[in-house]
Amino acid sequence: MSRRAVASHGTLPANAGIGLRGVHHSDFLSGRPRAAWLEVHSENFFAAGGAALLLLERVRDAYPLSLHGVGLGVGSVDDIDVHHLAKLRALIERFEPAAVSEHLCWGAVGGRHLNDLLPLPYTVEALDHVVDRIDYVQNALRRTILIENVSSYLQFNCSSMPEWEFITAASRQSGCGILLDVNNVYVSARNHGLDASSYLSAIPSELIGEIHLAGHSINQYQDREIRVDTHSTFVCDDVWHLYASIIERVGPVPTLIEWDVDVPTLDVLLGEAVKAQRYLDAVRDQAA
Amino acid sequence: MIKLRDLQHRCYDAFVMGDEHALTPFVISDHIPAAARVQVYQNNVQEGFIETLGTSYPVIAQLVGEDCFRTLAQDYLRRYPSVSGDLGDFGAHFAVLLDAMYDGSEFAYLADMARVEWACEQVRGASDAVLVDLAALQASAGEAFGEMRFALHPAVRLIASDHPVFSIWQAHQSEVVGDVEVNGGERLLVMRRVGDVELQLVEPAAYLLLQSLQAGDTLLDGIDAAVAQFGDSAAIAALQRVVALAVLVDPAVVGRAGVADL
Repeated sequence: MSRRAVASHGTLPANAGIGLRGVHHSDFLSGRPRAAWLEVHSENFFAAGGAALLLLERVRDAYPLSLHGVGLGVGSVDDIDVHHLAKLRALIERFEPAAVSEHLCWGAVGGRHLNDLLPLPYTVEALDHVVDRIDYVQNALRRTILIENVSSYLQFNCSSMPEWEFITAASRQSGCGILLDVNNVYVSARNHGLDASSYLSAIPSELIGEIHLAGHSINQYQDREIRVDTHSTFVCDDVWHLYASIIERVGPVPTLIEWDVDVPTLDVLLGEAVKAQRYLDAVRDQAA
Repeated sequence: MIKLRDLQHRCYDAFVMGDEHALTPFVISDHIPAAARVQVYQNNVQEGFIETLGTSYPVIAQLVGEDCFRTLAQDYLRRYPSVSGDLGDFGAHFAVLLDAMYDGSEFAYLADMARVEWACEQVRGASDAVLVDLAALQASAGEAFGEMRFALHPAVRLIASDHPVFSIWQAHQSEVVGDVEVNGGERLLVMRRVGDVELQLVEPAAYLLLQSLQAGDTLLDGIDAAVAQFGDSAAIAALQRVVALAVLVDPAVVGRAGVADL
């Protein structure tokens, strides 16, 4: 099957958007909050009908939209779930989003799903597998997608390359873009004693289609810390600094604030987006 | 070198089944031991499933208490692993587990409560369809009205229980749980109304008429069945109730497959 672009409502603006979550649906039904664009989890709209889809139709007319999948698992060795893919394709055809993204992870084996974003070993075998899968998905969806780096809490000792090399190669070989989650880079780097700046510097500018920012939690293990990607709080200062440095290098990129647990009121969430927007505006001002 | 498939199977055994030794030899141990790193995933994966089940079954969680619910959820995960990348599908078989565990006991009502709560989940995202206006049809169709067949709207489920599940469900909708008068079985409709899920108790004759229509009988056959079992006046009241409920659609619009049996 040859890949071709399907109609989409333009591209995401290189401004700050927010993840649209259930607790804020009523805000978007009763008004038009100021957000540059919106992202939703694709699977939350897989239903055949009902209120969520009506809401999405409404916001679709007012905001550029991004569909962000959490369940396809391009790194799973199991066959791609064609029913899942068909639902995603139907959603894309109906809402014509500006962007479609998935995670660089796996989530099912032997027909059993773990419904989590699980890390891959960074091996040639895994790379070849992921590239084949992304190619399959992009052909089925008839568009390119973005793949997001996930937070990780362990590393496999069989890995033969660093994560940044793996995701860059996956992107180059499959033709997909990278959704660079700066918080995930930071969380993984802290958990594995790596340098987040070096990771970010290694990602080629032209591959980055979107940036995610979120808050994380610090769990204690005996006297050691493990940082967990909970999306439950404000973006931390270190992540803001990393964000500033990467957009300084690559220029303004569509940037999303994610907040999924202990979700605050909409004005607090939009406040984080305003903060991201200031960084983007500063980069634009510098360039001008 | 370990193959990707083998590694993913080992991850499943470690994260879901709790066998961390299946995976730790393949995980880097540094300032944080491999076992602790595996435990983060064990915790994330298992808590994710428990939380999802709790979101789908809030009344069951209240009824059995947090500790018992966690045990039930862990048992459920092992017996009925998730088979979908859409977490919304997890929980479909919870009533079956509760049936197997509590059938014949004083907690037998839990399985039916699970059916009610799963029906709530299902109708929330069921297909949209245009309702038929029975009153207008009755006026315009004349004699032919009785020969018509209808289907239940896709966002409607019928549930009959030997237990007062509607009363118990309703008592658990507010912060302070009221007393429930145990008064035997109840028949109810679970349906989506203007985006929200609503439950309604239904009288036996109206329930029978709806069941009959759901099975594909003509309206007249359904009414005859209600007359035979409950008498003329109850059957007339049942028809009025079905008209007032407004839950029927043209069967040509909704395939039979769209109307799930409970």
